[in-house]
Amino acid sequence: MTEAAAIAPKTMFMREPPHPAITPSQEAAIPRWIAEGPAALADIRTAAFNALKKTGLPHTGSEDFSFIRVGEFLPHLGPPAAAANPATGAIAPTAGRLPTQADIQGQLVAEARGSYLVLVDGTYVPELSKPGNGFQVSTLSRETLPADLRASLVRVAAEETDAVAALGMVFSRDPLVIQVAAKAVPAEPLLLLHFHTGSGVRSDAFILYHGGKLSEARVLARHASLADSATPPGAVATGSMENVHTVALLDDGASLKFLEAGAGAQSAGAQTGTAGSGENTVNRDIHFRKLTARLHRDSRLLAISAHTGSRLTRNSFSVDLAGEGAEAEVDGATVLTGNRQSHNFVRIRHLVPHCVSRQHFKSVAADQSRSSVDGTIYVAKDAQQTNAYQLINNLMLSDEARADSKPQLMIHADDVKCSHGATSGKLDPAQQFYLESRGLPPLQARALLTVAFIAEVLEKAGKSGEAGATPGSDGFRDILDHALLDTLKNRLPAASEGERHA
Amino acid sequence: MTTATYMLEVKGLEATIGEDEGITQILKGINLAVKTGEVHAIMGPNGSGKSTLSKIIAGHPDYRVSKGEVLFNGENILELEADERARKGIFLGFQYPVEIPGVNNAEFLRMAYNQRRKAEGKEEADPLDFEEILDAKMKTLDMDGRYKERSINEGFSGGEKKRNEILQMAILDPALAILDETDSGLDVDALKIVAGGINRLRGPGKAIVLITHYQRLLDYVQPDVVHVLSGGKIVKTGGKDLALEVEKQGYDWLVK
Ligand SMILES: Nc1ncnc2c1ncn2[C@@H]1O[C@H](COP(=O)(O)OP(=O)(O)OP(=O)(O)O)[C@@H](O)[C@H]1O
Ligand SMILES: [Mg+2]
Repeated sequence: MTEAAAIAPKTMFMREPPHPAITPSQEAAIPRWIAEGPAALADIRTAAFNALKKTGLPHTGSEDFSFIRVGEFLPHLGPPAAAANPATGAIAPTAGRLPTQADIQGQLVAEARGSYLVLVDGTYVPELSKPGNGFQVSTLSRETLPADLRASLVRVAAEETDAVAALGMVFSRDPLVIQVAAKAVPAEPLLLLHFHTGSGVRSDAFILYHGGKLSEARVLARHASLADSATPPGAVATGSMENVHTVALLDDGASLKFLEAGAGAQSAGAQTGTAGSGENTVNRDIHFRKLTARLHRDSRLLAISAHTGSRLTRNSFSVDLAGEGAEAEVDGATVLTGNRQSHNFVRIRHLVPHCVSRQHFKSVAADQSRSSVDGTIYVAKDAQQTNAYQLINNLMLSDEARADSKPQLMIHADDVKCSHGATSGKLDPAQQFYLESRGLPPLQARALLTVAFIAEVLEKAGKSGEAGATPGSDGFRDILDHALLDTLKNRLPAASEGERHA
Repeated sequence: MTTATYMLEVKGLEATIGEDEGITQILKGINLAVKTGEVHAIMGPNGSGKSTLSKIIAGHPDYRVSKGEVLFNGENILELEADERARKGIFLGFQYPVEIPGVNNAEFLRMAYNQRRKAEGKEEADPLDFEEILDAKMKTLDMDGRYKERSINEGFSGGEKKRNEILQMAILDPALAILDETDSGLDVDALKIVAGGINRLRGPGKAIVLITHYQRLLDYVQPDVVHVLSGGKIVKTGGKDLALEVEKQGYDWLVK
């Protein structure tokens, strides 16, 4: 019996009737896609596919997709065009063009001028990349991973409960592998440049980061769209879906800073003038990002995601503290305008004693935007002396905007320090009046206060000029700042009459 | 005489706060005229409406003016937003300056300075030039350079906040400065420094309104005119001797 036959009757892809995401015939093609793909990927793809079969596609009421209307992304979950026909599964952008040198140069940041990787629609393009010293970069089909590392990766795939992440692991053409050797401390961070080429494209990126013992590195990620110029004149561009899953495995004492500036923050065109403005494209797009991290003894993770949302953005963090003394911090800074959405989904699992985890999510919601944070801290029975906290702060700039918070603690140990909290508020009118009374126009005053609100999270990325960052005006921290500030400057609504005189 | 010789004229100003049942009248017909070059002091019991008057002149949106007008250099400013009034040269030193965590003091000052310059048709200041101006002003106020790094008023002591108000005034060089109890909470040395800052602003083309409870500020900054505000009205206007009188006798003799 073929695998396809085994799953066909279960209709796992049919739970949301109006949007049959994957037709049975497409579904049947998946085992073929796996069988005919690189042999080195088969075990991981199979494990992910099995996980997907177990989980089923997201449906209304899926706990993992709280606050999100599943129908908004379900139609995008079919196999990517190339995957439907394995014969055409060659590594090439699915649509549009490759980024030009100008596109790339326009996205570089001061700290990482000589250390960047280019991914186009989720696939690593070595010819356009220039990994910095200390980063070993390869792809899964070309790299022979140590057995234990490979086993860890297969396990991540097998245990995946997020259907979208599992799909990404099935369809990613050739996962990117980044390794930092034991004790290596690359001087420059590594910048991952994700370029998206087309309308109506779904791209699946699957990235493995392995930090060797006592290694210390920074990885920055940026996203840019080349779509506007890829859409022929007169054609209507439809949104694309970008699905990026990064798996970070940190050996004893390893340290990783993983900072991501979301799409919406930057488009290639806005910087270089060579590609389309990207603004509308980005807004139409769906972004699913997931960071899965497994931390061994005394390792450290700092993950910060700063972005301005899109038609639908979901950031998921799944962090296992699996070695004593490990410390993880996961932060988010979001500024949403228009009808953009951003949803954060966090699962931190304390599996062993003496670990620390911190979460701080700050969201600004203007206009009719929507944001949410669904975060759970799980503490296993043996994980005594756990120290965990989670803080969610929402700044509401409009009565029509919505921000949901769902902080949760699941604690099975008795000697722990855990706390969580969520706040929602508006700008302080007294602060606003103070700034205006010094001559700042209301819009500038509001933008300043709004940036001050999220600055606390951005500060953690490190100021340019600080150790490890090159002084200059285009450090990554500045890019985060500017991205968010530009959004505010351009599209922040003035205070409504009612609000000012309330 | 045309109104233009007055920098500030408040005519029959009545103002309320709240709505419907919760409405309270705070100002009940204030008349005040401050000429260019003058320093006026306003004294008065707690809750008499001094801060309310100053905030209404600065354009605070919470209060509703039910009657009267406020002219600045002959122009009715009641329809202008607070920021527009500031750019025209009105400055309010707050009785209780708010803390604004996350907004850098020096950056904010530069933004405010540039807004003022823009309103005057000048170019934005070069950041380095501005830094020089700021350093010089801070020196005259005996302020440590560390204040540049800090967020606006965050964690400042009462006296430090007041000094920061005077710094902002010095940077913005307003035509009209209304200083609401800027002397409260200052030790003797700080009082002298702040008074020095006020005296440096004083001069032709400028007008200053000092709201204070204490004669001691007026020893350093001699007022031309002293008013006593009580129950939302100015009940007495006189020379600088009036302040001495109030210091000695309190307000009872005026209020009755
Ligand atoms: N926002 C407000 N809501 C309600 N009442 C207010 C408000 N602002 C002022 N008031 C009231 O208006 C009156 C005048 O207040 P104001 O602050 O102007 O007094 P003041 O003369 O400055 O007093 P002080 O000397 O104590 O500073 C007080 O009774 C005060 O309670
Ligand atoms: Mg007062």
